[in-house]
Amino acid sequence: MVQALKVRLSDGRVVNPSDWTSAPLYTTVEIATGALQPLPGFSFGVGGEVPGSPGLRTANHRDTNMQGAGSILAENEELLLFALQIELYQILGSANDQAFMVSPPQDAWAPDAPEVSATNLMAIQRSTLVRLKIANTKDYGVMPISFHGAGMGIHRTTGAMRSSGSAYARGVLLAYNGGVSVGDSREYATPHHVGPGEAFEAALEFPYGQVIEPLSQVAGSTVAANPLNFGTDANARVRATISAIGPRRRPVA
Amino acid sequence: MTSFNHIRMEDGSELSLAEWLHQPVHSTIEFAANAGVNDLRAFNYVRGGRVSSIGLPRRNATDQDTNVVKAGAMNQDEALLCFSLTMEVFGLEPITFGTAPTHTVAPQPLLSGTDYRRLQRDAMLEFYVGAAIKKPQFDSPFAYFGQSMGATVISSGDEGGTAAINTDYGTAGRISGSNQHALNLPIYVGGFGDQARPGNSMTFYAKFYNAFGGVFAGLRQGVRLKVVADGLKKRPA
Repeated sequence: MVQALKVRLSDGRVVNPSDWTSAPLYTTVEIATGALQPLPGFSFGVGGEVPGSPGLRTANHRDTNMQGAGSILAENEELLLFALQIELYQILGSANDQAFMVSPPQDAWAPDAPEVSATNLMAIQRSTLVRLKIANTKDYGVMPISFHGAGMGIHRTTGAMRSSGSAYARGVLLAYNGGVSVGDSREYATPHHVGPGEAFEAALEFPYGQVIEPLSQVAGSTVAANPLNFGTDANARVRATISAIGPRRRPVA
Repeated sequence: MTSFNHIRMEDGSELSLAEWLHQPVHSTIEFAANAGVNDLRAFNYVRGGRVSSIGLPRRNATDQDTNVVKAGAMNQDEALLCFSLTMEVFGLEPITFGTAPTHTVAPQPLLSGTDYRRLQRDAMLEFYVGAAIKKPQFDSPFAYFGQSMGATVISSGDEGGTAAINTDYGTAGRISGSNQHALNLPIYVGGFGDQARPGNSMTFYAKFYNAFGGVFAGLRQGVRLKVVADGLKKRPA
């Protein structure tokens, strides 16, 4: 620790020099098709491995601004958590953007990346849970991903929009995790506090074992499985950026 | 009870230990398009129990389906101050335009806006608190409830092709954290009367049904409805 975190004055008073910012703390995880383990957000720093990504790619500053690793807030930081906002991007694993359209299994209305098709996005909403952990003693929220709307995205007007991935042969059906405007996300009625050095994690979990229609897992059911559909692009992912919204204390360097 | 809830001091006064957090409770119900929905209840099962459903294969609940820890009641060391009710909906199978299988109207898991409107036309959602209480603490046509959780969908439409997009998708209002009615009088789910202390067990459930009885006329898709009682939850400290 190289910063002065406390200054004791001659009269005994203690002053904590600090710098509070409203810049969000953010992290990234990536969702694949098929069986999934929980994906721990805020578990790595720049240079760490992005959970769920193909080959566990190295995180850059777009992926996270966490300092350190291990799902622990840095000793010289502090966070008042007013909201979690989760936005989703389609990431291609193949240089051929028409791999999505190889039939079967094609996502016939898939927009061009990084927009997510409406069916893939709602399949994720159907199957994904967000577990917020603070200090590792108990959960501070266990809610579907749609509870944490993005409040980010593109406010669109479209004509007969088509996709490059379909060689401009088809229209598209795309979606966002909730509304795209500031104010569309949800603020906690009571903000959470994450103290310096405390464990802090927002994990995406998949209680059905993967992104899948749960009724399809019942013996004898005729309901379709409806998993994430990336065509033949096995390395495609849906990237989730999780932003922790609220004042954050940083060290005064 | 594994947690301290009360401490009696030497002078007889009591301290109540608890934390209140914004932590909604949610519960899933689902029904087939051709099922008569006369009394479908939410919050009446826990993880591992059977999801409330009519006309569909029975399945066991996961954390994605509900986060209540006691079936049909608030656990004894918890309480809820519910300030709003909202929901999330999914279609259980795709529907197409007329008889043309390539004309996609509402691909699974999107729920058709027209089918959603049919639910708004016919359905009631009621919230009950207390054992054997017949008067709902809150009841309203389903159309009253704003949907704050879900997807904002944009469709290009398409005039033809092998997979024409004839989209019919809708939500109950704009998908926004602000799109849910705040209850002018919040509903407390916990102890009352002599037991009016946060933390006493209290029966509660939500009831969804077709006020016209039987099948929802015109409904084409099976529906999954996640009922969310939004509010502050008291948990053991």
